[in-house]
Amino acid sequence: MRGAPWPVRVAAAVAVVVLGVPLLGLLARTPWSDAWRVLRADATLDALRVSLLAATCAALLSLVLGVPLAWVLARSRLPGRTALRALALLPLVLPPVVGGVALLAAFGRRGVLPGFLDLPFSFRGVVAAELFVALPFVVVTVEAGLRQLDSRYEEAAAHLGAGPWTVFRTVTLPLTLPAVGAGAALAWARALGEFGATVTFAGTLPGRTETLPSSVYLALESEPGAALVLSVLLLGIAVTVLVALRGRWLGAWR
Amino acid sequence: MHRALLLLLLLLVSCGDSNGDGRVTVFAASSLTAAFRSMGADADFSFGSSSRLAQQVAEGAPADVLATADEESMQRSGLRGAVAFATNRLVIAHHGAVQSVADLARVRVVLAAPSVPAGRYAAQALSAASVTVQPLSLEPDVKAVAAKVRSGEADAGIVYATDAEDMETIDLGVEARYYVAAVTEDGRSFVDLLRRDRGRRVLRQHGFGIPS
Repeated sequence: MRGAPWPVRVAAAVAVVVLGVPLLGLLARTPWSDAWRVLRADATLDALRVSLLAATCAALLSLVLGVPLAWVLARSRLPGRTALRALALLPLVLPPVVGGVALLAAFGRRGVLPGFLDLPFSFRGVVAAELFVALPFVVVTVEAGLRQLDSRYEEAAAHLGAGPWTVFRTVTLPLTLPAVGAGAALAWARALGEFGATVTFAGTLPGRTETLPSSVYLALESEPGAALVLSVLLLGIAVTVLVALRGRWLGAWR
Repeated sequence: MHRALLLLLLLLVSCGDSNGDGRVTVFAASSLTAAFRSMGADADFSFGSSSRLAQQVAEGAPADVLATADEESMQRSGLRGAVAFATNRLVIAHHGAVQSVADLARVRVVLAAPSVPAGRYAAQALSAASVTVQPLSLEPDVKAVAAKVRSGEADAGIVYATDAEDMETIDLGVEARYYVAAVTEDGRSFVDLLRRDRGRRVLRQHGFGIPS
């Protein structure tokens, strides 16, 4: 920290406090003696199962749809790419509940495409809502990864006679794997934490559409101790994901 | 550069709340929204699910008055001296697909979660009628239930009569009792207002009953 002027150091310290104190408070106030009972409860296991399954489905779909879109944004010469990129990033800045309202307007019973996959109030609806908010993470990370690629490898492969799909499969994809992995992990974590869009679009039914974040919200009213335990559970999952990423995703952004 | 910093500082200072302007803060069940706003009281309102608000009061939220939709929530707040001040009816809100309580077993139904008063009253009504329902969702707030029925996402939902005035309803024969308690001395004036003739008139106008 040598050389940093003191106002910078003070502001940085305040930033650490702003981020750290709520988390410390959470850990300090959690009723640890009660934690095992809450974690083992059927309601918790149901919500955990719904959350993990939905987030994984949403992350996989994000990859399947996001990687091609990222490729188009990074490599193709399609006109209107700027507008397309703005569209891809929109869910990042949209309030989640607005995403839920939009999904209802599109796929609800009085929506533009009523009955499509019968999404509202279903597990598929949870996945759809999470996909909407998580997809941008894959697009952003993978597009950045593709732009950083030295195109000479792909050019060499093409020069040696490989078709575009073979080039993509054997050269492009392996080289962008770190970015793809980081995008998938971020999408998964974002999907896991989604609340506003899923509650609005899919509702909260234990065992089917009630996710861990929804459980926390509901538990606040009747069992605040359980809400704290579930919050720590989510915190633990988030920390695990971040540690697994180990700052690698920061590289893909540059 | 210094002017920019000064401007930033001034903007940051205005980020805080302005507290203590002498107005009474009322925490109330969301079904009381229209009625309380028409009371003509100089108060700040926070409407939401009774259980959540009671929990917040128990944790020291700066409310002067707490009004809940059932006794259990009021007990959770730990407040003393609560009185019943209004009643409401539980109804099935629907769009014509429902003729009786039994029909709820075969249409798309949304209920409030059992952790909120409306959810508890709904369970009471359903068990009294011996009807088992597979709800599509157990919403955290009764207004959310009404919204889902109103928008057509659900065929029916169990809500308070006062939330369903724009929809077709079937009375369930269950009465909700609302309780109010003053959290601070400042809140007493609002509690008294609710129990005087003027307050009762406003409550009746909004579809509430007065407990005997």
